[in-house]
Amino acid sequence: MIRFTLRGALAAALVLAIGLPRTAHAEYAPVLHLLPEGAAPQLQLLPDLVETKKKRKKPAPAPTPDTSTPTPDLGTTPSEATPTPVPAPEAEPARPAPVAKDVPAAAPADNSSSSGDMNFDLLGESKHHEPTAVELAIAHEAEVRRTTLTIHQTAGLATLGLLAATVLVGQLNYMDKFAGSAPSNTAKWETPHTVLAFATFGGFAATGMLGLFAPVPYDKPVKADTTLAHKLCMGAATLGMMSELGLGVYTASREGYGNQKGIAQAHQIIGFSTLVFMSAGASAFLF
Amino acid sequence: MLRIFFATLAVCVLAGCDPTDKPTMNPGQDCMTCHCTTDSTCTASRLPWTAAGTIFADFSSTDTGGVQGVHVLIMDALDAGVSLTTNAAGNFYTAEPLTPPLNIYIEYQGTDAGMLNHPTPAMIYGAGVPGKGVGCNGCHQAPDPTTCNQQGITIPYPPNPPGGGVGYAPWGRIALPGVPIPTCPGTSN
Repeated sequence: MIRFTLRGALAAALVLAIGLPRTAHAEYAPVLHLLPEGAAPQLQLLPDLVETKKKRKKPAPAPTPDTSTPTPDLGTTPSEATPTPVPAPEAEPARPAPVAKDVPAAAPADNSSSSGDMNFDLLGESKHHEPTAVELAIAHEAEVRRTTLTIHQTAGLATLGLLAATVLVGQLNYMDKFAGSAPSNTAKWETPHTVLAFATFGGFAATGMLGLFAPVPYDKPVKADTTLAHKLCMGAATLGMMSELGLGVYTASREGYGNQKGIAQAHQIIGFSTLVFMSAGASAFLF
Repeated sequence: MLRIFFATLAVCVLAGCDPTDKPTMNPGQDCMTCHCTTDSTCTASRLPWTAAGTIFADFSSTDTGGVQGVHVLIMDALDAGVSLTTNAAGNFYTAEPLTPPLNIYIEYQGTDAGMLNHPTPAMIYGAGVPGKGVGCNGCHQAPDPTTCNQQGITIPYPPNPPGGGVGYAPWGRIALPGVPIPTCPGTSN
C-alpha cells in the first residue's frame, strides 16, 4: 500500500515538476485521489480542473474522494484518512511553484473558455472569426505566390544546371578554336554550345518572369537578408545573361576576322561571371 | 515535362557535334565557289572570305592530307597583314579586307617560304569579280599530265620557282615549305 501511494505521489510530483501542459493536469486528475492526504494541499487548484473535467465527460469515473468508491488497495478511504498532513517521503512536496505557474492561481474561473474546454483565452476573444473577402483574396494570392515561387525555384535550379553546361561546353568550344598555337578549329562544340545557350537563356527568362510577377499579397519591406542577396546576384546575372546573348551572336558573326578571339575572351569571362553570380544567388537561400 | 525537355536538349546537343558546315569542310576544294557574294551560286555568302585555301603535306596529297598548325601570313598592297593558322583539315580562311595583290608566306615548324607570285582575284577568276576573294585553286590545281599545263588557267609550265618555295604548283597542291616541287613527267623539270 505504501509503495502504491508513493508511486502516485511521485507521479503527481513529476507531472507538476516538469510542467506539463494544463490539460495534462486534468488528464492526470483521476489518480489524484491516490495521493496521501498530506499532498492534497499542494494540489489545491486541481480539484477545480477535475470538476471541469467531470462536467465535460460525464461517464468519467469520479476521481474525487468518495466513500462509495471502493479503494481496496489503499486500505482506507479519504474520509477515513487522518487529516494530518503527511508529506510523501520521496516526493518533492515543497514545489507548488510549477502548479502556480502552469495553472495560474490568480486565474479566475471566468478567465477560462466558456465552452468548457481546457484552453485559456488569454486575449479575451474566443469568438470564431469569419474571414473577410479581403483576407480570402490575400490567402488565395499567398497560395498562388507559393506555387509560383516553387516553380521558380525548380526552374531556377534547372537553369543553373543548364548554365553550367553551357559554360563548360563554351570553354571546350573556345579551346577547340583558339587554344594553343595550332588549334583544331573543328567547331564540333559550336552547335551544342549554341543550343545550350539558347535553352539557358529561355530558362533564365522564364524563371525570372516567374519570380518577378509572382503576386505579393503582403508588404515585403526591403531589408538586408538572403532575399536581397538573391535579388542582387540575380540582377547581376541578368546583366551578364543579356550581354552574353549579344556577345555570343556577335562573336559568331566575327568568324574569319582577327578580333574574334578577343571578343570570345570577353564572352568567356562574362559567362563565368554570370555562372558565379547565379550560383551565389541560388545558394543564398541554402545558407 | 522536364525529362522530355532535357532529353530533347541532349539529342539536339549531340546531333550538333558533327556539323556539315564547319571550318574543316571540303579541304582542297575552292573555298571561293561558295564563300563569296558575287551571285546566287555563293551559297555561303554569310561568310565571304577574302582569302582561303588548304595546305597539304605534299604536292600529291589527297584531300585528307591537310596539315594542321601551318602559319600563313598574308600581306596586302597596303601592308595590312593577317596571320592565320591552318586547322585540323589544313584549311585557313580570313574575312579581313585585303587589297590585292597579296604577298603570302607560310611557316611550319621553323621552316618558312614565300610565294613568288602575287595573286589577285582577277588573276585567278578573271576580271570583274567583286565579292570574290583570293582562292588558291585557280592556280594550284592538278595539271594535265600530258601537257603539264594547269587546267582552267594558262600558266606556262615550267617555270618551277628557282630554289623551290611556294610558287606555281604543278601538281595541284600548296605543300609545306621545303618539300621539293615535282617535275612534270617526261620533261626535264
